Amino acid sequence: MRRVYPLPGFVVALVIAAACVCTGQSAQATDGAELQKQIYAARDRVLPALVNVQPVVRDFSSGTKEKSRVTGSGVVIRSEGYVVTNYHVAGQSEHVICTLWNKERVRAKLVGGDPLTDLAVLKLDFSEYEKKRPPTAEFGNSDELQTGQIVMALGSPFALSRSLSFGVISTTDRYLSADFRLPSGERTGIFNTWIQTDAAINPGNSGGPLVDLSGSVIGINSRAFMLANNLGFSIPANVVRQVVESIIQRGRVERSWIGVEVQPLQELEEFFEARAGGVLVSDVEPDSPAGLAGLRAGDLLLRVGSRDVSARFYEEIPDFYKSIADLPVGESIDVDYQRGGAVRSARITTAAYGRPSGTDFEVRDWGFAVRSITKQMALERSLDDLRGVLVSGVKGGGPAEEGGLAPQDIVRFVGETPINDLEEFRTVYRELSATERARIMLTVKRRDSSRFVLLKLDNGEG
Amino acid sequence: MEARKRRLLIPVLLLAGLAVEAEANPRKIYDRHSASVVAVTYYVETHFMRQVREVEGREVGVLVGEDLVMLNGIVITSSSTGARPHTFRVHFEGGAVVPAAYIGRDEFANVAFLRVEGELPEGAKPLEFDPRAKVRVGDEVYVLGLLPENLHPMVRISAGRIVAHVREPKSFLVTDLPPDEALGGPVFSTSGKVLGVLSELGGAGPAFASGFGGAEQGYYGIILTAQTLQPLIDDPPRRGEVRRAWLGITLQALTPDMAEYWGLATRSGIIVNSVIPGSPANAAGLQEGDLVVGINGGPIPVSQEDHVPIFVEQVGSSGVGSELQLEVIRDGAPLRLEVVLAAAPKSRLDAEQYSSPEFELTVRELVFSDYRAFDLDPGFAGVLVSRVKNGGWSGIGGLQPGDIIQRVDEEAIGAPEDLKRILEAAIDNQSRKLVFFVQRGRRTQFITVQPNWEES
Repeated sequence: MRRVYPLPGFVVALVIAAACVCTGQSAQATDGAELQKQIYAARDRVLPALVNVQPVVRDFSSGTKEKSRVTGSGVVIRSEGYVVTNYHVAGQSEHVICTLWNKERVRAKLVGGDPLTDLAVLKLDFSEYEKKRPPTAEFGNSDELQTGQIVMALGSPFALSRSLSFGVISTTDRYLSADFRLPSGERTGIFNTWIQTDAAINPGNSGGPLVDLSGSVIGINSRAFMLANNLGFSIPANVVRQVVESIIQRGRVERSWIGVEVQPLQELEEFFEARAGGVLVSDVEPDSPAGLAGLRAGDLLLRVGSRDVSARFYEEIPDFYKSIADLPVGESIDVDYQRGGAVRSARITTAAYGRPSGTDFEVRDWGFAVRSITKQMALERSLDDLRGVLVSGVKGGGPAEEGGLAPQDIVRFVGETPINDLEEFRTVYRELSATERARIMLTVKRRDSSRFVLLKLDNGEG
Repeated sequence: MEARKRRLLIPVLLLAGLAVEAEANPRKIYDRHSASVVAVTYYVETHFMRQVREVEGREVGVLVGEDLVMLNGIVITSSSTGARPHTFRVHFEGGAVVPAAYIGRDEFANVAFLRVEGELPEGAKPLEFDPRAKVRVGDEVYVLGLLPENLHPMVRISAGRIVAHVREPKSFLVTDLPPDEALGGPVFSTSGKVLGVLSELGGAGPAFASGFGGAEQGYYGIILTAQTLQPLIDDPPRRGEVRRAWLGITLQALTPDMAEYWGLATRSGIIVNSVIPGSPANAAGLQEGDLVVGINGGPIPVSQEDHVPIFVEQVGSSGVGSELQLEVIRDGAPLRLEVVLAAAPKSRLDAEQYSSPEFELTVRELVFSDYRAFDLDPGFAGVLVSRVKNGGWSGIGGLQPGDIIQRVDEEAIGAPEDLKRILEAAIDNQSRKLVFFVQRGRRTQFITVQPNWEES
């Protein structure tokens, strides 16, 4: 008896499974053919605009200027030959070779980059190219995406160009911590959430388009979790479009900054008596526009200019930062905020966000590399001012390393000459290089101390 | 006269030496002194695959007084979470196990002391160091160390040689005795005299030698001698009591190249990189950029960066309240300054702490080095989260080690005591929600901790 019981169950299960397969097959036969057609159509709209991007990128972290060729992806978005890609692919490139869909190679130049969104724009140089020019891909509206929507990722995974992978949108508004940094050291991803997809995205896909079934570019593939299965992330097209437009117009993205950090209200609504939403200020930079206007941690922003603001969840934070960044630089805005139950007002004059990172310079004869110091760099390092140049790399075995120079030191004096910025440093360096002095004393700032570094340039080994 | 006398003495000494030699072979050293060697076990928190675990540590200890055990300071510094080791047990040869309490550590010699809290087993006897014991390069030496756990007997003896006598930047003996299984074990001469204990060139070694080690160079054993150890045994350091003196400067080595560049007669010394406000150096008028080239009429043997700890020890061991004469060069002109040393600020290891089992949170007071490490203003108040269980209420709320708690709800937190008061009140009231205001890195934020009293 006992043996019999499992059998009927097993048979039923088989039948149901079989039925599923049957109906599944017949459904796929009709829908599948339709879907296949759509995929082909979408492919045809975007594949000819796909570009394999091979920039030669600069890196100064070893103390010398290292050049290396990397591979990424890109897509043509304007008939003049503008290509969008990632900042981490081509944002610091010397020159770029692009391979088009027809396997022809074309040179390209960097128009501009934006580390904060990890985007860069290249311009293809068609002056020596006589074949058919690539078409342009169209941007879709990334505010109207749905989880489960079918998408394709196009690009050059592991440098395998013209590769297409297929999947769905896994979630439309993934929040990833803004503490993430690009390989070149800049914070990134502050102003956007991400489209998460299970379409395979591998190294080399970076900068390539994520496309919907109509063939519109809905995102730029930028990140993936390594050693995970199909966890890729794209920058939403609406963010891309705005940044690209700005780079093409002005070569860069101008953003406003008021100096507040915010956090989600979620479990703190009661504590801060937040009855009508708001954005909780978690930190205020002391000498920033917001700091000067009297804002402090614990204030609840209700209204910024003409816009009511609210952020209960992390997913809403990037959009708030973006709304601040999108304000015109130097404009006075009225801000309503709540403190201890009372609503107050302040007028804040926005300042420029400024460049996240400075300009690199190789100090070849002395064996190190420096970077100019921008406001954002100074804030991150809690520097009192922008004086000096930051040591970005020290060459092993060079005079600077022998003298005890370390990355992150700030060069404040060369000999007796004070250094205020990179231009002054370059001038002194050129002058001293011409004199062939054997000893050069640098005064650097390391944390809160000064330090002497003696460069010996006559070690005789040539 | 002198010469003749010495000649007469030599044969006598040689005979005496031979007699002692014959008496103290390694077997005898082992038999006589095994009972003074103990295994000290303890528990300490360590990060393990992103989790915090309590792991057992085991070190060689030496019974140096009726109830006093000396061991390498690594026992105190080994925790990767900064938590204190606990549940010390002293295992004697023969199997007796007696609990012990931590007394303190000398940071220069890097040795720690425990007080045995219970009856010592029969035959356990303190080891006596011989300050007159002498060895030279090439001499054979022995060390008593431990075999792996659960083997009986547990003590082993190893032989080695004095392979060098380093004179610069400081005088010490180097041996080829292996410091791995015998770190902290007693070292004997061939005549059976107790020279000192085995330490190493590197992290577990004395402060002055900490910069010289490194796995890539292999491990070098060095000997901490009776001259260093006896004063510590006579008056062991106590936790929380600062004996170390300080000047209150940050500094770098004055190298021969720099001295030449500035046209100085000296070849060594230190450069004052910053003067800490309110410090003895500040009171004495020392300034950033000053070159200190002499101390109490003698030189400062610091000519390269690795030697800086020697100056720090020179000052630190001078004694709180003592006066130092500094020879200073300021803007090329010589200058004499007198500094009265004060007690150094409390170290991280001595910071007051408070641990809440309910909130699974441990905090400690901010000490001077934290103000520097976190770049805090002198008036800044808060307590530092030293550990938090990630599955506890505090961990779920998002508190992390390294966070500095400034406020809980509306109350400012300036000391572990403040947090203790608030968390105990929360326990009494079964509070549902506490809002912590913390600094993380250079940013502040609010963190909600929501206790679940039903669950507990």
